[in-house]
This record gives sequence, C-alpha cells and structure tokens, in this order.
Amino acid sequence: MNPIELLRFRARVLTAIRQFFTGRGFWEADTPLRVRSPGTEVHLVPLRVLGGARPGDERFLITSPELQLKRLLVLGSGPVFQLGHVFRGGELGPLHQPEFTLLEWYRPGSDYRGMMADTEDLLRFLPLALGLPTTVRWQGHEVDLARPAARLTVAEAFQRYTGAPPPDPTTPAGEAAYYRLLVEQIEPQLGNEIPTFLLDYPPSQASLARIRPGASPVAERTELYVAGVELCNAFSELTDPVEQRARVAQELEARRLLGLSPLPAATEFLEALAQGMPAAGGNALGVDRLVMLLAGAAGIDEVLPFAEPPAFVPPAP
Amino acid sequence: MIYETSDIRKGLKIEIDGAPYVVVDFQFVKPGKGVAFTRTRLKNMETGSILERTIRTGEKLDGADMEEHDAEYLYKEADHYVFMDIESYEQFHVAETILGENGLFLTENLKVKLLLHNGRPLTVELPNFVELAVVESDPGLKGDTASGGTKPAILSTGARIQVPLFVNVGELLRIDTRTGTYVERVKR
Repeated sequence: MNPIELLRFRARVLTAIRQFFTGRGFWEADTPLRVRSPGTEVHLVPLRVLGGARPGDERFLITSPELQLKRLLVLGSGPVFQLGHVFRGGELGPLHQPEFTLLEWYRPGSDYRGMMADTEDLLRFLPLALGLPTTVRWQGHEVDLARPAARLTVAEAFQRYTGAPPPDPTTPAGEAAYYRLLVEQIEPQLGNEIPTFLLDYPPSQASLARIRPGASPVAERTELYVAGVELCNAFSELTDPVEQRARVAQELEARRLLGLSPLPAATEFLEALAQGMPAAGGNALGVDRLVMLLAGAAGIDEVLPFAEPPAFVPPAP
Repeated sequence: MIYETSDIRKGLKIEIDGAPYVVVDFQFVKPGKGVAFTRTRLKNMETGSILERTIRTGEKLDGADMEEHDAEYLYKEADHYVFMDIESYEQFHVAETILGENGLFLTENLKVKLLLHNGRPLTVELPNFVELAVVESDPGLKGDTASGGTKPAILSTGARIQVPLFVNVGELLRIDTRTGTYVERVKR
C-alpha cells in the first residue's frame, strides 16, 4: 500500500472500531486532551502545556483518557469508549510515538475477564468488517486473530521463559530487573502463534487495578500480545477511593525519590471516586499498533500521517 | 563525554569495560506503564564482535575517547607499521594485525586517517583508492582479452589480487582498498 492507501485503510479501521462499540451499546465520549492532572504514574512522562484561559495556567496533555472516563462512569455514563490521541514524552521507536492513538473502553459490572472477552470479539470482528484474512504477519510470525487467545499469568511466564519467579518489583532495582527480563526474554515470546493474554501482575505493577487478595495477591490486570507486540492493557478497575488515594500518594513519593518532576495529584478524579464508582472492567488498546498489524506495516510511523521518524538523529552538539 | 540513552543513534561510539564500541542498531522498547529501555546492537571496534545490550533509560553511557589524526605512512618495522602525524610530526606504531590485509596496500607517504582510542591506534583508514604497479603475473592468453576472465597478480607492495587477463607486468593499477579489488589500469 502507498502512504495514502495506508491512511485510508487506517480510516476504515477507525470506522470499524466505532461500529463495533456503538453496535454493542457503548457511546463515544470525547473528553478533554488538556487537563489539570494527567495522572501520577511513575513511568509515564506527561507533556506540560502553559497558557489557556489565563497566561500562567498549567495544564498537561493526557497520557490516556482513563481518569476522565472514570469520572463519566461515576456520573452514570454506562458503557463508554473513547478513540483519540494521547501523549507520552520520551517514547519514540518502531512501536512508540510521543503522540499516538488510544482506544479506551469501560464496561460497568464487568472486570478484566470481561475485557479479555471484549478484546477477542474485537479482533475477530475487525478482519471480518474490513474484508481481510484473520491472519496477520509481523516480523516473521503469523498469528490468527480469530483463534481464542491463550492466557498466561505473569508468574507462569517468568517460570517458563526465565526459569525463575519474577524479581520482586517493589524496589527501584527489583523493578528494573523485572522489566529487563520482561523486555529481553518474555515479551518477544508472547503471541507468536496465537494471541496471548499475560495476566495477574504483581500488585505494585498496576496503579489503577483491583488487587485480588489471597496467599499471593495479584493485580487483576492483563495485556494482550500479538507477535510479541503489546496491544492493550486492561484492569478490573480499582473503585476504592481510600486505596486509590494511598496509591497516588505512593506514586508521588516514588516520583520524588527518583528525582522526577512533581505532578499535581488527580484531585478531581479522587473526589469523583469518593462519590462511588461502579465496578467496571476497562481496557486501553494501541490503535496504531493494531492498524500496523492489520496492514502488514513494519512500524506505527507507517500508518500515521507525519509521524516522528522512529530513528530520529539529533543534530550534532 | 557522558551520554544519555536519548543520545543513542547509529554510529555513536561508547566505551564498555574499557573497549570501544560503535552503535550499529538500536530500538526503543517500553512495556506499557513499565520502565523504558533502549535495545542496542554494538560492534566492538577492536575485534569486530557484536554485543547486544539492553540499556535502561536513565543509565549513563561513557563516550569512547576517540581522536582522528591525519597521518602518512613512513615504513614498516618488525610487526609494526610506522605512521607520522602530518601536523605534529608525532610518530605512531600500529600493529600489523590492526591493518590486516590492508597493510599490503601501504606505500611510502600514503595519506591515511588514524583513529586513536585513549591515545592508542584503533583503526587506520586508507584512501578509498590506491595506485600500485604489477610486478608479477602470467601473460594472458592471446585472443582471450574479451572473455572477462581473471588471473592472479602480485603488486609492488606484495599484495596479491585478481586482475583481468589483459593486465601486464609493469602496468599501474587502481585498487579499491575497501574491497581489495582491481578497478582499472592507470596511465603512467
């Protein structure tokens, strides 16, 4: 496909996604991209915007519409989705752009299992709606999107691909070791034959997910991999305002210890949670990666107009 | 010179455990909500061996201390070649092994680029083309000049290369030092 054909194909995928969700009782929200608090997650870099109504106003571009969509859930939105651009600083590569397209949906009364089922439905629906074969090819792997996805817990994945349980990610060094193994040894193995959900994360690795208590508690979080590409991230959403407030405080403290720029606590979101958020499953899916896989493109820059070159060469000092 | 992971690009020269490496490929990787890394493919500039290394965002990299000198070839001494910096007249002894086969394309006063790592010679870059005379080669078969066939020849420096059948002893040849191959005959 030439560049315009790829972009027209992308437009058809976006239309089909909207068709999928509106046909299932979801409505499309359109929440602000420019917000007072972009969330406090330690490993995301929100882009700061100055000015607006008044010259000195400090706002941030959203890294995801999650906090705003949850405020809608509290207001009684019912099933809702958003399909739009989000912004994350410092991310540039074949699978990363600082501005990219995120699909996010919430289903009240559901949980991460419901999100896995929704995702499988969506992956079956899209090739059908677009008149495409259900098999995608990427970096030598052929994956049939129509086959039921495998389910592998984080503990099982570490045991299978590294021969040991995951390092304890509650310290900065342990967390770095955990992610190093994940990117070097585990992710490249995931979803190379059939789509694969990685699920049940260490509790510290899911700031907005519900923890399932037990002998070894896990966060009810899941990510889908196709041909080693991470496609989405879903939670059984945390609805407890006290627990959520404590985690935000922890994140702000972790950011301070790491010398990261301070961020405002998500006050409006925390206040909304205190009003009572319905139990819900939520999922965020990288649309550019999905379009890339469906189009057989090598990187997401090919399916985005005027993307940043992924091998950007900075000017010589 | 200290680099950040955001400085990583193809051709960047860094030092790991005292050895100089050049970045031949790199890719940003980051699991959603997780720690970011840059996956790199590095070539050891001394041995040519390839190292794969995943570097966490925030880790610092030591730049390799590299200096390039314009130099010319003087003479060979035991298992070393001797070069002289054109500006400072400083002499550098370069082990035979660093030049490898290219040592046989050196002629007196040949201008080269000498790359030093921590003050020690690392690579010697020859001009892309040198001109050398044929000192030994069997005469080509009569009437076979258009066949495109080749034969071995020995050049004035001792280098052995394949040349077209029509090349004769005493002729001057242009050689591509990057491939070690014959390009054309040159009029004296």
